[in-house]
Amino acid sequence: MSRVLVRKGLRHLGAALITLWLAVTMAFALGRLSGDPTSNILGPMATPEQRDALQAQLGLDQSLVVQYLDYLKGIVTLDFGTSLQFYQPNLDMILDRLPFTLQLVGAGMAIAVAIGVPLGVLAATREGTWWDRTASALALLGQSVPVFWLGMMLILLFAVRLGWLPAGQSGSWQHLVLPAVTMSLYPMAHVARLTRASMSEVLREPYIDSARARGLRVRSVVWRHGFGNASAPVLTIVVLQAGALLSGAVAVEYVYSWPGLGQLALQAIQFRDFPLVQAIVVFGAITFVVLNQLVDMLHVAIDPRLR
Amino acid sequence: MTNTRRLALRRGVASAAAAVLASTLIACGSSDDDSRRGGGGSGTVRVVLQAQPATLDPIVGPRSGQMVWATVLEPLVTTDEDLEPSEDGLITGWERTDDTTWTFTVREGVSFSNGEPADAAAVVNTLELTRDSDASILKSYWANAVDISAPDATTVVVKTETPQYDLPNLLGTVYLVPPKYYDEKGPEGFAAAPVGTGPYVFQGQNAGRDMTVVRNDDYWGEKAENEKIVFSWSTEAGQRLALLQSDAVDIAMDLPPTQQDEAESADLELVTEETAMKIIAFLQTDKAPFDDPDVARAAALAVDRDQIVSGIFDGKAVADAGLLNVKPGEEPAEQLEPDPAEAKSLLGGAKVEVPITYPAGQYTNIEEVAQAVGGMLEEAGFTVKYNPLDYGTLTTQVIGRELNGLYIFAGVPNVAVPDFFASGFMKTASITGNCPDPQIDAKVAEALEQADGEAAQPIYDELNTLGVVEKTCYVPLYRQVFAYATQPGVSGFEFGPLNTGDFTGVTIG
Repeated sequence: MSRVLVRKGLRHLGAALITLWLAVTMAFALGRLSGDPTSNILGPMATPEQRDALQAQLGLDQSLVVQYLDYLKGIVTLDFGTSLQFYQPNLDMILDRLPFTLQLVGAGMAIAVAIGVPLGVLAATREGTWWDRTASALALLGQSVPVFWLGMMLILLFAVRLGWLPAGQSGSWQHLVLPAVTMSLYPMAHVARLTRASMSEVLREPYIDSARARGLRVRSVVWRHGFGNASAPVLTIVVLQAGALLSGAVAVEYVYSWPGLGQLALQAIQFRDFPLVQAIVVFGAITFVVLNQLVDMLHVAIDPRLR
Repeated sequence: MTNTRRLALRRGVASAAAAVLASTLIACGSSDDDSRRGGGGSGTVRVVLQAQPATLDPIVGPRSGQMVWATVLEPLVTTDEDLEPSEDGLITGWERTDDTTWTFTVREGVSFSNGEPADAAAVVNTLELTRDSDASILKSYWANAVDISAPDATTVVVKTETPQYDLPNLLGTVYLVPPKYYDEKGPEGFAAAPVGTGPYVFQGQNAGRDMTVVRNDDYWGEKAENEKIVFSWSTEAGQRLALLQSDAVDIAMDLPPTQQDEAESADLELVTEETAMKIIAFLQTDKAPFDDPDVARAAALAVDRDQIVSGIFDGKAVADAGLLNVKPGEEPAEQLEPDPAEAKSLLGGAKVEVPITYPAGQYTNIEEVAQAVGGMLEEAGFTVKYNPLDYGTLTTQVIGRELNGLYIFAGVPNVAVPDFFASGFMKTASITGNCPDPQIDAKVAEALEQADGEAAQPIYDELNTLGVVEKTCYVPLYRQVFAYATQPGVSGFEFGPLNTGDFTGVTIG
């Protein structure tokens, strides 16, 4: 049994490392495809000699193979290089911005779960009724509304017209409300739809009928016996969505000038700061792979059939 | 699922939720303190910029960052309202001892905020860093300075290889840095905590969020009227306006035309200033199709800049017919008037294909401008192909002489001297090199050798006529207008056409 588990663990680890390698290689290739960054750094008035000197300083005069090996070495030794735009170590900048993105993702996912799960359960327990149709429509709306548009509308209403909340930037818990609500919409819809589907399936199981027949209270049947068994796929999607949001918070951070990783990535791309872009991609890939592993471990912990 | 497992799962989920909530509250709590430190108050001016300054190191940093760093650091030579060098800054006088030697006098008794003396040795150090550092952004402007020395504490002597009349002007964009501190910290350390001689002292920054400067009570000049400035940034123009409308900031910079209209209708104070930044269409005249002078002339005659300004910018830009008239309000000696009928007849029905290359998203309404230019060329009989590129690729392709046809590009001068564009765009060995001509090269060099700007002006007029009117290598389009809005009662901010800002007089009523 334990040997099987070890083999399984090693297989997962191998797959994770291959995924990681593919992601970092793609980041390297895309960085090199975007052209020569020295024009942006030095401005158009720089002399060719100046450009050559900077290219040598950045190692861009080396062959691609040498650059790639240096890059991989940097990742292994946690040396993510220095930003071409900000003249600061990339890792320091990522770690500076990470707490803001974590705040946003954490708050967004908390709202998504707090609303999405009850909405999905409500729809599943009242299948075919107008409750179900309304919940499904809301979920569909949540997945269809563009984040950028929603963000601007919320700013206009709650910051400009009503003056209840800040229009953007960061600094206090009030600053977090609008970005977190905007951020929560898509995962909330996803969670609601998945909860509904998973609950509908579970509520048809014989043990639910049995629980009802034993005269248990409806709340207990639905939440303890129903949702307790339907929660595994919901948990999976929550963790995976959180991972996706970590690297996909660009639009929300842009609209609200939220100083997180997404905003930093955008600035890096605009400036062709490819060492910083690479560092953010590598960081995102590592986070996603780790979260995937976490989900697998959670599944194994929850479901004995997977052991 | 057993009860034990379910319980464990529930505990796990609860713990995760609690951790998220706790981290959020902790993070928000600490941010709250920071916000109070930099928040509004009677003496605090809150400014939202369009972008975070890349670096606060003026040796390596693009001049877009000077709105912030110029509160702490000072240029060696200040410029007056007419953008001419004035003698009331750190350098208080200069003399052209001979054709290639300049002697500058440095203000006595000035110190950096860390106590280092801001003397002639510091000036020499800054100029040498500017000339010699690999990553120096102004390196190419100082290549002509072969010797820089400080014979005493208040005198700096600069020897140039060839005569150059505009050296005092160039000092207007060189910011003095403290030699010892800069050497100790390097560009990265200096950018994190810049030290200068300016009216404010750098207080600190919250990474990615804001930067704060506080009044320097030991400033050698007139003290600032406010106590503190907090700079934040937002790339999205709608957000900058919303921050102003919701009273989160006092001044919102860089508002495009749509937001200008909204600011006006929201009863905010809107200020617009003509800048020295020009948008120019360059014709690559050493390659087809513009290697045919008639075709180049037809393109230049087809473009009606007034229509672009009124149609796209609703008057919120200024039509500009010259290349070397750097200062806002200046007109070229001669200009080419648009004449679509003449353009058509010059083409004579020939099918000429023109690629129009432009930096997508780089400048306000640049897509619409490219479309308008294309439409005017099509009207004259050209066939147009649009080629939007990102700014970096466009710059690389321009420098690499990879483009043909017409490309739209901005001229952003750091100092208000015609040589900035003459050397930058007109010489054969320039950024664009789109108008190679030995006569032009000779005139650009001749202009620099003159005694002063006044003596050089007739040569620049000739050059402008040659490049814009006769050879039609350049089709100047318009000058950008910079707009900012303030809360009612905020006054005293002075914007300079070279993208500088003076906050010392800002008061909040």
